[in-house]
Order: sequence, then structure tokens, then C-alpha cells
Amino acid sequence: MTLPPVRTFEELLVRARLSTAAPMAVAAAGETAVIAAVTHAMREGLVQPILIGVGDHIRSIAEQQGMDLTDVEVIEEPDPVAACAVAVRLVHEGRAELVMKGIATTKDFVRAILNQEFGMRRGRPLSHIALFESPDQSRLMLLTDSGINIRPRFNRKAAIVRNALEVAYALGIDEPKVAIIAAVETLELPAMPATLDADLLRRMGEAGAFGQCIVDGPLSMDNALDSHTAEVKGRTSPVAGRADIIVAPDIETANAIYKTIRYLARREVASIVMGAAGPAVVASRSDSAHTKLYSIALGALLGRPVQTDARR
Amino acid sequence: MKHTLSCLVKNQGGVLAQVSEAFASKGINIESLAVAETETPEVSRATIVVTGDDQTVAEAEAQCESLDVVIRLEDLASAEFHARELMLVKLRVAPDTIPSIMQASEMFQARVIGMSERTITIELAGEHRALDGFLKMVKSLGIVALARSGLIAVSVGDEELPGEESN
Repeated sequence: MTLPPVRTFEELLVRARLSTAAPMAVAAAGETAVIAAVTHAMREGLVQPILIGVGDHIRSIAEQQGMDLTDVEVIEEPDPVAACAVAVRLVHEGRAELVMKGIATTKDFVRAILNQEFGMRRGRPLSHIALFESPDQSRLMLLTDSGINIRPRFNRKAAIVRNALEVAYALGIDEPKVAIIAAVETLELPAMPATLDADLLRRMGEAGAFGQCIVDGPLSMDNALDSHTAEVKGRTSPVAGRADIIVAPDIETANAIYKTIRYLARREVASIVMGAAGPAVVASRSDSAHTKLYSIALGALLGRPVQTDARR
Repeated sequence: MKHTLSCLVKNQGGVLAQVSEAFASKGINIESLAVAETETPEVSRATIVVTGDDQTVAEAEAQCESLDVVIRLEDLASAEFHARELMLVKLRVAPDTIPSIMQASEMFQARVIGMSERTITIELAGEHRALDGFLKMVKSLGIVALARSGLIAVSVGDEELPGEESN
């Protein structure tokens, strides 16, 4: 079956519904916004949640908000840290296919995922991937890593690219265009180490080290995002102005881009953590209900990808 | 036994030849020699690494110290010292070797200082054995050129400058 790339969040919901609902373990689920998002996702047929937390509290919230938990399994674990462990253990044991963070801290949640004994390790580094719509809504774009890797070195960046590609393929992008961001387009050594990483990642991409994709760098943000600017500046590249994946040099850059999209451009930004045995939905408390829903939809799609011709 | 010697000499022509002769006359090979002027322009510090039996090295040291151009010579074998070496290594670069090169560079905290189509130039400063360890890791990747500064060293703790009185 060949499906076109997912271009908008609404299309993401439609695509995610094509698969059967993936069992999703929600760690420390005792918060109205979390339960609302999860039950909404369940009604949409995206996931079959397993809620972990204080059972009475979860049921009380659901009752107050008129949410139906009849078919939802609730596991009693009042301690948020232990709830994270229970959630990832469910994936470890094959009872869940993805996990979602509730009111536990991201630190505790990631720590549980990385647990040697019962966690979700699969020998790859974790990385955070944000998903947003392009300004003309012609495609979904990915941004990485605004949440986990602080100052990734070269080989970690290569892993970050691979994790992002996994998401892009699941969205049906056959040949993702990957922009490795720096401040300039030329190699500047030793002053700008990001340009070196970008140049080397491009070389690896050209040699096919990342599979079917086009990697270019170093690219500045304007050239990655705007083909007219790239043309004016003489930066010819199939990625310039058409980037599907933006790979920032460090967490500060990625986080600033993420929050600029979110708070200055006022756009929805879904997000997911990749690299583990299953996708991890790490929604922020401040995320809107829509954002949470889109993040869950992305997790569901990644947990049970719809078969496309996209190469892995 | 390996000896690391820190030698303050007058910064003038012919000094290195005299110092080298002091060791050569005893049949001692100089493994590395790094010399540059100190904070006092008239004075240079030479760090000399030699290997030989203790007696022969001691005789060479004595001969060296007797030279007019030598201000002070200290055998650091009997003291703690800070020692570093600088290395520049140019490696062949190909897409399949990039991860290994970068992994080695990250492990040893080396810096890439140059990049061209087919080679990558890396700078590494550190202890002698760290440089050896790095070379061991990258040797199979294709070394195109290698330059090492030789060891430079200063003793640990307070050190008297020439002409200064200790408190």
C-alpha cells in the first residue's frame, strides 16, 4: 500500500486511525489534562490506554469531567517514580507498545526508560523530536533535539538524525530532506564546530549511511527554510528551502526554535521521544489539548506504523 | 630508564649543539627535544627526554650542567612534573571512517582544526601515552602526516626563576 506523506496534524489523526489502537501505558496519569487527552485519543481510536497512578484520584477526575473509563485498565501506583517504572515495564513485557508521561518529571520518566533491567533500551540514544506544520501547511516538519541531548557530539548527532528519519518514514516521507543547522554555510574551524559536524554528516549522507534521504549541511536556518533566500545567496541544494528535518547543533538552539514556533508563531508542536523500544509521548503540562492529542497520535502511528513505501 | 630533563639555557646560537653533544658524547640518544624561550627572553627552556642507565645519564647531566650556556638542569625523574605534548595528525577521511575518527577524537578530546575533501587534521595535546592511545585508535584509518612537538614539562609546585631568591 502506498500512502502519501502526512502533511498536516489533521492528516496525522486520520493516518493514525488507520491502525488498530495501540496499547499505551500512561505513567502518573492523575491529572485532568492528561486524562482528557488520553480519553480523547481513545475515542479517536488511536490508543488503548493503561493508566497508572492513584486509582481513586484518576477515576474521580474522570467522573468530574464526564470521561468514560469503563474500558480503561487502571493500575494502582501512587508514587510517580514507581509509576514510570510500571509503565516502561509494560512495554518491556509486551503489554504496551508506547508510553506517555503524565505528571511525573521528564527526568524520572527518561530514567525509567533507560533502566537496564526492565526499561525500554535498544542500544540507541534517545532523542526528542518535535513536529510542526510548515507555514503553508504543505508538509509536516521535524525539529530535533530540543529536549534530551544537551550538546551532542558527532556520533550522537548521527543517532539523532537516524531517530528523526524513523519518524519521517512513518509519516510517509519517502526521501526526507535533512538540514544540519549551523550559523553559516561554510566550514569554519575551529571557531564553529557545528559546521564540521554538519559537513561530516552530509558526507555520510551522500555515502548512504543514513539510508534513503538527502542530508545537507552546514545550512543556516534561512537557507533551510526559505528557497528564495537560498537562491539569492546562491546556496543550491535540494534541501535548501525544502527541509523536512531540522537538526539543530545543540539543545539551546533547538529549544529556542521550538518555543519560537510555539509562542511567537502560535503554532501547535507535537513531540515524541525516539530511540527506545517504543515511542514515548512526553507532553508538557502547558501543551494544549490539541498538542497532546497530536503527540499521542504521532506515538500511536510510530507504535503501529501504517505500511508505506518509505524506506527504512 | 627514561629521564625527562628540564633545562634552562641561555637563548643564543649554538646552545642546542652544545647540549646535544653532552649527551651524544655518552652515547645517549635524545628521544625528544622541545625548546622555546621562557617569560624571560634571554632564557630558553629545553625539555629533553632521554633513555639510558642512570649512571650514564647522570654523567651526561653533569657535563651538560658544566656548560656556560646552561643555567640550570633538573632531572624530573626524581620529582613530580606536569608534562604535555602536542600532536598534529592528518588522516584520510572517507564517509565510512568518519564515525571512527570522530569517536576517537571525542574520547581523547582532540580538536579538528582542518578539513579538506580527502583529509582531516586533528590537534591533540596531552600526556604522551594519551597521544599514543589516540594514534593506536586511528592508525588503521590511514595516517597521512604526523607531527609531534616532543614533551614539554615543568615541575609541580613553586619554582624559582633565575636570579630570584626563595622566601
